[in-house]
Amino acid sequence: MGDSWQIEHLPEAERDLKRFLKPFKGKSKEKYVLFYLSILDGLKELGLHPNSAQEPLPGSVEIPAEVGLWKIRVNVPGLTGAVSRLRVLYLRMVAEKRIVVIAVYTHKDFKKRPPDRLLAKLINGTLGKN
Amino acid sequence: MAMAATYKQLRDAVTLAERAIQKPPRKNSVLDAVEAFSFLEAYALANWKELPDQEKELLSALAYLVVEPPKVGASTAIFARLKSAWLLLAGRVRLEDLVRLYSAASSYADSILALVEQSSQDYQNMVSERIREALAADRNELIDLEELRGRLLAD
Repeated sequence: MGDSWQIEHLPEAERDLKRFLKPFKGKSKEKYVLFYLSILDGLKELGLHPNSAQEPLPGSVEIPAEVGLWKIRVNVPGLTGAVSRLRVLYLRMVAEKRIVVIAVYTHKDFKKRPPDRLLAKLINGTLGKN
Repeated sequence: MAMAATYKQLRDAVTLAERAIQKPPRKNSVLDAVEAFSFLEAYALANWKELPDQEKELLSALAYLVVEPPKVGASTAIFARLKSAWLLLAGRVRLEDLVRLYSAASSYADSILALVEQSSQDYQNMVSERIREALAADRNELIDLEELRGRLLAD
């Protein structure tokens, strides 16, 4: 498939991925490896995934006009909570038809859960009361 | 609903959405909750940077309730499932409306979690650093897909 997009990873992104896979062993680990690879297979045709969207650039960085920062958001089957929200950040280089995956993370890495008292008030229906 | 809202309006919408995901919902409340989730998601996406911390916390709290619902006892969980099954069987709520509710809640949570991530300085630093590295890297420093596939499956 000469026309398909080339997909590469930063070494740090491979390390991210290994960190995500670390708790899993044997068949379970293989299942999540294949799940991740299937996400990337979805990028080969257009360099886009059905669950990908452009990500705002951090203020301190500039990139060439033909390069975009994109993020894939998937919910990993069989997992629950913040760790089930897997994200793949990649640079999409249109002129060269290249994808460079720069980070793989889950929401657990940047979680900022509000205080339990607020969640409890929400659950108990006492939000408006002091 | 307009994109401007008072804290009370937000609180009411959050409470409505929260009730629908915590308790077995009825037909009308499901559709109201779908609308509430959609409104809150659009509101957050349009205004996040300008929102006071109090509103951000409220919107985040609802997102975390969707993603990490509080643990309940076995008997409470079984009772809630039986009640939901009964509401479906009795036609008090439609399966397609529950699917719409799940979809709206999940979309809401994913959007809020993305805003929470983007607000994190650690996230901003990580992304900036990785972009610079990727743009400066030689091709031979990067790992191609076949190499990655082989290494992950061999580990």
